Amino acid sequence: MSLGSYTFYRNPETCTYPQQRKMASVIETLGGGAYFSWGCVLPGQILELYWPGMETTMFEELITLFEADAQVVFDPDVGLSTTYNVEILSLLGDFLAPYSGAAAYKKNVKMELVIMSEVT
Amino acid sequence: MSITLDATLKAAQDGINHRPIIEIVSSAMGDLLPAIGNYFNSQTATESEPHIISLSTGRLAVIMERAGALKYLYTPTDRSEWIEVAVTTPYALTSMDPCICELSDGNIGIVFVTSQRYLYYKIITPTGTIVTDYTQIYDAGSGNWIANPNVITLANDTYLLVYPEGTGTPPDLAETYSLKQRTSGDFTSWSAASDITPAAFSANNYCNNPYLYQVTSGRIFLFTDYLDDYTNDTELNNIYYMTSDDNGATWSAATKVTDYTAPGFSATHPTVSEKQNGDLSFMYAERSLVKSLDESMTGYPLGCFSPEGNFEFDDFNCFNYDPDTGELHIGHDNQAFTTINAATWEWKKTVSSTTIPAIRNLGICAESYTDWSVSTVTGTNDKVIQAYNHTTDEHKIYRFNSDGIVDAKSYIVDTICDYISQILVVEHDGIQKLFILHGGNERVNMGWIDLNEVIDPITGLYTYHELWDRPYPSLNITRGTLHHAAMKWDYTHDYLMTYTGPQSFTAAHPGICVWDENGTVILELSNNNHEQFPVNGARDAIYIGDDLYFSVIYDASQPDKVGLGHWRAVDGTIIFHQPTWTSDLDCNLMQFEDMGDGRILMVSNQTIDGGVVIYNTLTDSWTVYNNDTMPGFGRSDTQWEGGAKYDPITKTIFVARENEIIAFSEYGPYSVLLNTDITNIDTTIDFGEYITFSYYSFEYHPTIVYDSDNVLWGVWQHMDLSSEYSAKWINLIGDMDLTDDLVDGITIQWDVEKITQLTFTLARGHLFDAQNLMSALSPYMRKGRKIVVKLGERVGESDYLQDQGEYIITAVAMEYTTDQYPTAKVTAEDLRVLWEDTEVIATMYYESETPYNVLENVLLEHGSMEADELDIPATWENQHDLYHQFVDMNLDDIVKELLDHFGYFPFVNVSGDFEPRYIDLEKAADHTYSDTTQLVKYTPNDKYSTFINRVIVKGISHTYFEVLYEEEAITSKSGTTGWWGKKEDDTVWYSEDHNRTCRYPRLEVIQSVKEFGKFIRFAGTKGEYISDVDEDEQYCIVTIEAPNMVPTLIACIGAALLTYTFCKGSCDGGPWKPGWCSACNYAVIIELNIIIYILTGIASYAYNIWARPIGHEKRTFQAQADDEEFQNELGGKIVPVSIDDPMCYTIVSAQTVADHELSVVMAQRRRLQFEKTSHLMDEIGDIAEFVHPYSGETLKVFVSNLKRIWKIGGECIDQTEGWRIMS
Repeated sequence: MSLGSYTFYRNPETCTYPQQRKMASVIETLGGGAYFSWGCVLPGQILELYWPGMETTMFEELITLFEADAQVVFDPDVGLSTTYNVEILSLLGDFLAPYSGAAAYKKNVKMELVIMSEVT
Repeated sequence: MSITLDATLKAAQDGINHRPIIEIVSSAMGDLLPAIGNYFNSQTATESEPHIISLSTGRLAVIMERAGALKYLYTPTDRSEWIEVAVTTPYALTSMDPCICELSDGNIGIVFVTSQRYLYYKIITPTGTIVTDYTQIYDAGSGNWIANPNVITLANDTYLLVYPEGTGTPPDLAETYSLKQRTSGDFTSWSAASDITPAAFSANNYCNNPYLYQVTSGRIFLFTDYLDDYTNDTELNNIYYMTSDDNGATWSAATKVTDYTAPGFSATHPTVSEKQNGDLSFMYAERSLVKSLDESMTGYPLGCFSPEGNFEFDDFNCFNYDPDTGELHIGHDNQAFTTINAATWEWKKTVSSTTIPAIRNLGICAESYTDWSVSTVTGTNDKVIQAYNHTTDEHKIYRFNSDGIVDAKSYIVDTICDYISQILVVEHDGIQKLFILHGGNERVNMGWIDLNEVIDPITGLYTYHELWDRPYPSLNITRGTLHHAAMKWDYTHDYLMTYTGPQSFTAAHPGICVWDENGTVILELSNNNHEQFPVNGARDAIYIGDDLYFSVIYDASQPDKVGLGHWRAVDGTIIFHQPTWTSDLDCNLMQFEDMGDGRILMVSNQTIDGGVVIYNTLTDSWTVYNNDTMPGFGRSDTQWEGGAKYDPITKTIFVARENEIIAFSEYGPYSVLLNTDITNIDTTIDFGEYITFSYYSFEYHPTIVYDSDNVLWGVWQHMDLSSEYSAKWINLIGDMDLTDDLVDGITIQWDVEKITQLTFTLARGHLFDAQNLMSALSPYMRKGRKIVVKLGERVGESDYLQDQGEYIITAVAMEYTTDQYPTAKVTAEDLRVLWEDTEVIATMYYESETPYNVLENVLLEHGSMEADELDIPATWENQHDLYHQFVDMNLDDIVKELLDHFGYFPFVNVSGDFEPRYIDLEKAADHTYSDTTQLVKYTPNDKYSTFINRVIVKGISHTYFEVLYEEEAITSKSGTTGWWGKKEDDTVWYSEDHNRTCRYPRLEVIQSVKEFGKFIRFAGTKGEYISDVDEDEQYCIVTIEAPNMVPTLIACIGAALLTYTFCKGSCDGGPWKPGWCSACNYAVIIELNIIIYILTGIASYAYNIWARPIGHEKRTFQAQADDEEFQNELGGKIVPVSIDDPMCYTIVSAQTVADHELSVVMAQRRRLQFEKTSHLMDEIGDIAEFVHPYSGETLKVFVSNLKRIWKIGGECIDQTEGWRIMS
């Protein structure tokens, strides 16, 4: 799994599956109802990636991507051949002070990506 | 009416399962070309030499020079905005002439020149990060010249660079020039220069602005401009091209592309780009010193100009410039008025005797700086004047009463005119005045009429404001001057000037006379009253400040009086400014025009070194424009007498001459961008017809490129009228699809009483912000753009879309905040929104016209509509002819007033055409909903209805009827007479202006000559009586008849003499002898008393004339319609509404309107609202039929308001209001 030029050192524990979402509505009428379907769309879907913990170096890689504030390519690498142009909406993680001599790391890291388009 | 949908779409709409789709597009209201272009910024620093390329990623990249530094601009891959990056260049050197190419690794290669000597390259990333900083390629050496390099990436990933080089700055025929080429494999190391100058090019004539382009086949085109001729400091450049099929190793011979041969013209800065179809789009800048027009201009009527070399003074009877509209109005003798758009130099329209509206053939035309053109009419002995308003198309005829033509309602007031000498249009005190100088054999008259005055419908007369009427000779500037003077208005002082030279058939004292606005002489200059004034008078005159300047007509007896005369207000002296540029003693200066800055524009006609001349009164200096002083001007020094005008905004001088009209600018030569296609690029290389690409006339250095979607983009250097140079960009995306940026959806609201409104919201609001110049999308959401909406459904794999109207953007509102992504909230309305702001001063008077004709004429003439935008019913409900003129209304109100009368409402249909519709409450249902499946909500609601139960319509006839008013005293007269008697016919006019008519005159005698005395009465006097009545009923004749007592007096004197003679000595007896006897005494005394009585008798008379004035009034009447049922429900209470309808000419028509209005009022009391799933066949004006959700009763509703809401991802709803129809 990779984001931009960075291949995750650790894959997230959970990741929203990228798929199209349906935009539809049902309205009740006095004699029944009507259904309106606007079809399925991919752009706008928000992907949530969650890591229970990660090394600080990996978090800093993600921070660099996040702060660059540019559209990047997300490769879920979960059996899909498709990659996606995404924007990074948020990146949050808790700081965990290391024991003396131990490597610092982050826990409960959450990142939200919004799919802009499929890479053609 | 309802819309007929595609059958598949209708079936989908009838169902309950919908796949809605929306298409919303921003379109240009007019043509894309000629293009105005968009600024990159609002900076004032000079920008030049922009160069654009398209990158393989979809980005666009531009490089330009700004104030000696280089700027790089690029777009994202979606080309939605421009992002600027400064390009560092060598310190303290002026960088210029940049060009760019995309390198094989995706980076950007830049080549530029500094100080016209050094050639540099630089490499940056597509987003502007430096990869390799500026590095010198070549130093041409001190005193040498290089400029305008051009570089491209070849298909084999090598680079080809060309640039011109010379031993000095061109043009200089003493230096040598060449075209050089260098190649590189990596853009950092460059080969030595090789000379690729075409063999046909002279070494002393420079070529410049090379432009390389490699087409798909691999062929390389190299375009360049070349100095074909350099004479009299004037460049004549043409464009040539060469081709190479071996990556520049060898080049073909040069082929000439343009073929300018006339001095003053040049073709420079070629640029080219390949289309998807393999053709090339080619563009260059055409430079010209002078723009010219004649009959060859598209649209210009033939026969207006004299044949070449056969100039006639009357060729240009008027040549006016309207600064408000930027239009030239040209009147040709015995021809037409033609309007030219001075900015685009294009014919706009012509009005003549064969156009609609038609005018009469032109005689003498007027000087005018307004939207009126005025002329006398040929064939009427110059006694008829016509006025045509170019804005409103109003055409008026004024005639003086001595003309024999019967032309109803066209008279100036009763003023005798033998012929019209001069006319002049002036805006003074807010009035557009037509001044008229006219006269007869023994008199001259001056006055004016208000061009916007509405004719008095009773008298059929316009008002003539006479300033003066003078017999000959009344002034030193006499007969000849006033009869044959030219007239001019001085706006600074509000003076009127008349001036003339010598006339062959008149005598005295030609010169200048200045009048104030009331016709009082302010200044009079002739040799008769001012010895310094030239004996031959003045050819032209003008006030600059308080001083008066005039053109001297040379006379050998006054050799010191030449050139420009100057009367100085400070001391009344006259001095002369002799031109320094001609040896002619008479410079024939004429067509004086105040340039507004102390300068006088004029022409010097038929003189040595003549031409267009400017005299600066502040510096006492002359500027002459002719072929000698302005190389390439291309005009000789004769035939300049047609007229000269000046536009201070564009600094353009317009001159009418011989058989053309020319324009040239003080800013310098014009430069427009011309564009064509090149086809068969690998074989015959064929150039097509050129079109003008740029709208304005000062556009330079274009480059063009097709993006990855085959859309043409262009950049060029534009000169503002403030002489500021700015880079501009344009693309030829006519229609911009906004659908993907839609947020939420769209709402369209139709209403029979309001303009249809569309609202929607767009994502990426910052890019649709019209104030964001760096956005490439903002031009698509500017106020006035057209939004085209289609709604539909996807059925299977196919999209079925139905037009939902065309709307004009009225507002784009957005908000930049710290917490929300900016969105643009757009409001657009149908085309009627333009009509609300269109003020119509007056339409033509429609006389016996159908409503179709009236509405069509109103919209075509005052709404700038095209015929194919109108879908007006040919015949109307309750149709009758109209006799009407709309005055001082906005266009929307005119249309509503007309439609209201006939029971129609204004409607712009879904195709964008104006299609007024009848409020038909009796027609069959347009759309029947057989159940409540699609009904979401039903709300009977009559809260907005009224209690009106009677409609009264008041009409007025369109013709005037004669009426007799109550008898009134018209006038009183009195006088005296004596023994000599009297019989006098006294003509008693019913008004001082002799216009009033009266009937049944009656004489009331206050004091009569009958009371002269007993003898007179005895003599049988008749006294006073009305002896005759004018058949036109404008006066009567009162005869006053007193007896002639002369015979009686003579008889009495004779009798007295006889008595005296008879009685003399007749009484010798008695105490009186010799003497008179008493009888004689008595007789003589009586006779003498009678004589004295007669001689001292004075008869006074006084009388009043009474009569019944005759008037003409339109007949008024009214009709009413009653809702008796509702009146009864209200216990007999009447709630009336009264409507004044000036288009009801008969009681029948008024009744029809009243009935229809009442039916609408009654229907509105049954107002209801219902909401249903959207159905695209429904429109306002429809009769919809559906089932009552509770009772199951069938409801028939006239749809008066429809709000269609399509929410993306949600439901599609029609919120409908209507009036239930009870039938």
